[in-house]
Parts: sequence; structure tokens; C-alpha cells
Amino acid sequence: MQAFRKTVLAMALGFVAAGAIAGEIRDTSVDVSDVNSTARQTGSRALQQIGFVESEGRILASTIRVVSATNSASGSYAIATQNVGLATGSGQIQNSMIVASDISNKALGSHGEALQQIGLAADRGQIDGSSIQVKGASNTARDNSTASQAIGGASGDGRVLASTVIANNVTNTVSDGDGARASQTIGFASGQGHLVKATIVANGAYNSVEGYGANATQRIGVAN
Amino acid sequence: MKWTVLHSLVLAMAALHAPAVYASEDEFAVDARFRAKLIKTKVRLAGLERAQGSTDEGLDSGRCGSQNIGNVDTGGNAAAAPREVFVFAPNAINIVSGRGCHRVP
Repeated sequence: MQAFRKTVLAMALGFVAAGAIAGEIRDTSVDVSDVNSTARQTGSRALQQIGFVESEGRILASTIRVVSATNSASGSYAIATQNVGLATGSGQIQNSMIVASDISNKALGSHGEALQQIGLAADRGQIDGSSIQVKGASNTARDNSTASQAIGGASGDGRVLASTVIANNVTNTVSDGDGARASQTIGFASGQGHLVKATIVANGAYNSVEGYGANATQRIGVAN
Repeated sequence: MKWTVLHSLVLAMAALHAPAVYASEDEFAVDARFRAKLIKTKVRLAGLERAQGSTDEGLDSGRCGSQNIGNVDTGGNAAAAPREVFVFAPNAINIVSGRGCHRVP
């Protein structure tokens, strides 16, 4: 019953996130804890989005706090995506704080994909005057899979301005996967992204992969 | 009688080969110097091959992955360069373990 409640809560949060599309979260505190999203089938998809704005959406002067959130997809070709504090499509996160601790994203099947994005401005998105604090976030995939973890970054002409990214003990792992890919990026600006007046602290960042043709890429405080 | 002749022949052959054996010791001394040079050359070549191999197969190659901390590559675009950025990443670990870093068969 408790699990059911949590699932319903997670779904409700999902709707809140959906409602934020092209909208605005202003002077608001979003506090989420102990939520689970699970998908179990071949080709299943688990999507968990908390504090997500797109299509010129904005998070202004707000706090998004997430503790113990789990998102998992099991079965072959499953995709697990977990977004916390994400602004896309010219979205903006301004003067806000995003705190995530003990959150996990898992794709537990062969040929799966686990994507975890925290405090990210993509597609010309912008993070300005904000603080992103992540502790104990884990992203996991298995067997011929891809695990991508992005924390505190700007991509696709995104911008991170006057902001702080702190990521402690975050892990990104692909276990026993031939041709597997593990990609971990923390505090980055890519695709002509801009990183200006930013502080990036990543203590104990762990990125690992195992298997034939495996590839592990870790980028911290990188601009290109 | 037959055995005596045989023994004599064997001793004669041994006596005949004795100078050759003595000469071969000199040659062996020369060989040792030459071999030492040869081994040195082989070791040097092996080192070069290993260095070449590490360039191709090491963790820094694109195929195996990479670890970049505080790197900037603007592609010649000065506007994209990060400014006033502080990066601190102690204990950052990037691992390709086990059978990693090999081509998929």
C-alpha cells in the first residue's frame, strides 16, 4: 500500500512537471522524498521528472529538493530517464537551488539505457545565479547498455552563469556489458555552451564500465 | 684390438676438435658482446612498440574512454571559453575494467 502511495505520488509529481511545460515555477519550494517509478517489461520506459521546465519554461527563485528518489526500468531494451532540475528548449533556472541526495536511476536489462540529468540547461537553456548540490546520486545500467549521467551543465548553446555545482560521491556504472558506454559529466559546457563564474566541486565522482569494447568517459569542469 | 683402434680414433678426433673448441670460446666472447648489443636493441624496440601500443590502446584513447577534468577546448572560439571558473575534483575515478579496452569481436 505504501509503495502504491509512493507510485501515485510520483505520478502526481510527473503531472506537476508536465504542467510546468511552458510555464513557470516561481518563489516555490518543491520538496520530494521517497518516490519510486518502475517499469518492468521488454522495451519499457521509466521517466521521472522533478523540477522540469521546457519550451521557454522558467524556475525562478525556487528550491527543488529531492531525497531518495528511485527510477528504474527492467527488461531488455528498457530506458530509464531521471531528470531533476532540468531546463530545456530555452528554459531557465534562475536564482534557484536544486538539492538532490540519494537518488538513483537504473536500467536493469540488456541493451538498456540509463540517463540521469540533474541541474542541467540544454537546448539554449540557462542556469543563472543558482546552486546545484548533489550527493550520492547513482546511475546504473547493465549488459550492453549505456549509462549517462550529467550534473550541473549547459549543452547545446546552454549557459551556466554565476552558479555553483557540488557533486559528492556520485556514481555512474555499467556492469558487465560488452560494448557498454558510461558517460559522466559534471559542471560542463558543451556544444558552444558557456561556463562563466562557476564553481564546480566533484568529490569522489566514480565512473566505471566493464566489458569488451567498453568505453568510460568522465568530464568534470570541461568546456568544449 | 678393434676396441683399441676405436678408442684411438675417438681420442684423435677429440684432439683434432680441441683447437676448434678453444677458438669457439673466443667467438663466444665476441658473440656475447654482439648479443648484448642485439638485446639492447631489442629492448629498445620493444619499449618503442609498447609506447606505440599505449598510444593506441590506452585509457586516453577515444575507443576506451577518457577522463577530462578542468579542460577547455573552444575550437578556436574565444567567446566560448569559460571565465572565472573554479574546478575541484578530488578522488575522481574513471575505470574501464576487466576485458575492457578491446575491440568487440
